[in-house]
Amino acid sequence: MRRGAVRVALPASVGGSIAAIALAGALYVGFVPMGAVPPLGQLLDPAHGIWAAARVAELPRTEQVVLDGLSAPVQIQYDDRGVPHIFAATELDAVRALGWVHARDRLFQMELVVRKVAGTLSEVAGPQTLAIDRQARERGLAQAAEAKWTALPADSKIRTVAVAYVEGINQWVGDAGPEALPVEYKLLGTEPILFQSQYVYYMLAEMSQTLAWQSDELQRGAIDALIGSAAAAALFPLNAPIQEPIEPVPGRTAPRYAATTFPAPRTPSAAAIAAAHRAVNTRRRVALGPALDESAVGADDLTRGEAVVGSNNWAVAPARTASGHALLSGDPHLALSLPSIWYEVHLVVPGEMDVYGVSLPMTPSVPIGFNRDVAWTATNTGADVTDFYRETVNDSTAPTQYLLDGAWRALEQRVEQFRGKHGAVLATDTLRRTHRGPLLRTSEGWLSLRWTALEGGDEASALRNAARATSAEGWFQAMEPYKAPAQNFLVADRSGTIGIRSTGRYPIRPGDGRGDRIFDGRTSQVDWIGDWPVAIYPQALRPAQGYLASSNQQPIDPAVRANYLGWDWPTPWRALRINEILRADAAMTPEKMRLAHTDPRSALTEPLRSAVRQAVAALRDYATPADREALTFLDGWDARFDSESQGAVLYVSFLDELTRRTWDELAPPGESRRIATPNSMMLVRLFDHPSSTWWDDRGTDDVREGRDQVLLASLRAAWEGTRSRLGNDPHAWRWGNQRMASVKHLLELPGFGRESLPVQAGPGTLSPNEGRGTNGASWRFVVELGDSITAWGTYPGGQSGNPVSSRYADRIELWRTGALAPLRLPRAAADLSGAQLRSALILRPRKRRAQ
Amino acid sequence: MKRLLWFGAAVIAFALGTWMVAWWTVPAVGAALGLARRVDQATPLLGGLAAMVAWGVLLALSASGAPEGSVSVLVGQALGVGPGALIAMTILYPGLLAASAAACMAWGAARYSKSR
Repeated sequence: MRRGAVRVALPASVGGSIAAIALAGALYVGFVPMGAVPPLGQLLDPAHGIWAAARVAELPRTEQVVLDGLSAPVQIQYDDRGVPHIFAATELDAVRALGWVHARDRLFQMELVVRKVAGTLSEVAGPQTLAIDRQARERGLAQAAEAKWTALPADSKIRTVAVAYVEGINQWVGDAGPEALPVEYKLLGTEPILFQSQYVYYMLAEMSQTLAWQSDELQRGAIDALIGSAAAAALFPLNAPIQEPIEPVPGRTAPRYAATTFPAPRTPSAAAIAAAHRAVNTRRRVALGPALDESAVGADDLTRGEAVVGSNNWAVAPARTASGHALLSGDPHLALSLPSIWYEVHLVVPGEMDVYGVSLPMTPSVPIGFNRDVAWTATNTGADVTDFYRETVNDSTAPTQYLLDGAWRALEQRVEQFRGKHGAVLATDTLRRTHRGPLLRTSEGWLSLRWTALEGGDEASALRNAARATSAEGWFQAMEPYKAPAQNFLVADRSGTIGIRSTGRYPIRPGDGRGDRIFDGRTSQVDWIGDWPVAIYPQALRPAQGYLASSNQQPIDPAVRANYLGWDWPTPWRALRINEILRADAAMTPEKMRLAHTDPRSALTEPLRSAVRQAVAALRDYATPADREALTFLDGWDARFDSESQGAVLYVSFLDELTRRTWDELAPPGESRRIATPNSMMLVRLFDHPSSTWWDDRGTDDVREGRDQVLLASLRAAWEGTRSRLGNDPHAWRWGNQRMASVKHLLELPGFGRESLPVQAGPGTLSPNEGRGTNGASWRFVVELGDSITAWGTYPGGQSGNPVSSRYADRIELWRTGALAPLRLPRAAADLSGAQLRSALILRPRKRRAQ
Repeated sequence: MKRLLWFGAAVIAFALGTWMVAWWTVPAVGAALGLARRVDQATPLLGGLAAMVAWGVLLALSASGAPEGSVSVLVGQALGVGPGALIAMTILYPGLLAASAAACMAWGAARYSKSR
């Protein structure tokens, strides 16, 4: 024994040291993160680390869980599409269960939303998200959400609903164990936060950030400086020159084309160019937050151009449907992500609630969906609900007061610290507020912001109450407290009523009522003086035309009612197309509604093709054989943006060339990037002015080009450029290789997204593709409101947030092809069985001990 | 034969420790093994191999359930390593932990007995 010990003593001293070093190193990398790599011990642990993602990927066939706070057992039947049908005895039990299922499938997504709004992303992602955090806290949406929560009466129903919902979330987190946590936590080396009830309002604030943030007036200054106010007002007009409004105009059966003028651009002075750059910098600074180094700013990616919005909705009254039942279609477009922004759910509380639709994880409501009587959906209104005020402050670098009505008023101030992953302070900002809202420092001085999203409103209560409506009128009435983000809510009910209302808070401004400029903040005379009454909201109920549609276009024709709601409205091409489809068909069916979601035609195509056709004819003496070949090819295209299309490739190249050549005056002299680009509606309206100076190519001093020359030159350049880029045989070109959809993971982790997806989409189609393909239809559905409800739907993603689950991206292919799945609508838990039932979960209340 | 029994027991201990508690039970079990079999120079190797087998079995149990894609491919992409490398790291890491802990403990025990 002793001999043996002596025998190993010498080598052991060396070997022991090596072993100690190896052990210390292995423990170090096991416990301590190294750069972006999380601690290896937890990460690689096959029982609780990343590998466990596979073990928890699928729903168990049956499951029973004890959940605190329930009054009675809750049955949750997951159908074959992974949709949980929650059957509960009370609303509070239902939302508690909803919090639990949201957490099980989307916990990381919910935390990400909370952190984004709160400005604490850097605490899990490090300095790379500091700029986003600083912008978030500067805008103050989290504070506004907290204020809304605090303002709720202690006994308000929505407060108890939110508390139950969030307790459901936290109980899942508490019970789940590390193996069930989303893989993103393991990759970031973090653990879930404790969710708070007020976070319900954070999600709604995030939707305002996405849908109701506008700072276009800041760029308007740049455009005015560069081309002059008259030209700017013409190119970025108050009212759309092509009117196909959301609120139908009685008796009108075609769009209205308003007269347009195009004042010539002025030649900018050096001072004007400098002013334009300053204004662009200001907009960029406000958009990107205080982390931006203003000296590095140029006129680049914030140039105003074709909007990437694309939501549509439409409804048809029984008189114009084949079945004699009202039909409703929803097609909200948002940034595409995995997991999807939406989570499909069915909540049933017998005698009280039976609502189906898409919920936003982190909220206990169904913003888009239907109950047994009413269906509803939304598009973004895009109203101007933000204003900026140039403030006079007592100190240009660290102000403590601002001037109002001749007196100095104290600024509200607070110091915000931003921390990194391990608690280190990354930055400290002093944030200031005037009575209007946040005060932002820009290259043009201090601007304060007023924004409806930062003020009162109880959207959560409105959505909750609307889900119980039994008629379209009741639904609209329940939604009256809804303030932001303003939405074009479209509703249909089983009695055959269809209605639409652009619902939200619209401020009334003094003077001309417009908000398309920066106001002088020294006087309170410029402050908002009230809100629109609901009676003058854009709306229609039971329209004589028998259908309603919205596609983000200007809601009211100013010829009917001229109240200021915004300016520089999105293009009308989608509105024109869907109205054309609905006008032409008095026997609409759910299948036709579905096909319209991915309708391959655009109302923009024919005006452009017609114009170039006329230009080639007018300039026949100058047109080359190649020009005629290009035109023949373009003319032969069936105007469909499907993936096999060849002509679409040339058409879009032509549109890009034409846009670049026409609006060259919007690039400062010597620069190639425009500070702003009028949308394609203005381009089409400019066709009526063949000799406008806007057609002139600024690069050719000796020639003054007109419309036809620019059209011909654009066609020629597009033809040559496309052949050079894609080959001389145009029949080998494929639109599907040029424009694709891209559904990225929320953290853009490679491999977690689904990219390069060929889709049927193009400029101005009902499902538009703006180029990068990162925006698109976030949920498509059709509802038939007959004696009972029949519905179809899908979204680009899947119910699970677990990337190795079969429910993670299982709907992508269906979505890509424009197909919809029938939605299952059981009235009772027992109605789902066999192949329709994927998983049966029972949440049981915890038994109370006898006293 | 005795070593084989120890090996089997160690595999079970590593696996149960990891499954029921956490990854850091691997060096703890390794250390215990090193203490219990401090006179056997092969103990660190035995411990390391046992830990690797234990995690290999757990890995197979966990990862084989992936219905869609593969954890190794997805996470490997996210971390910038190949799927094979991720699997290899998962197998080798407990081996390193267990072997070094066992060796450390055996060495420490030897020094302790020598000093007495």
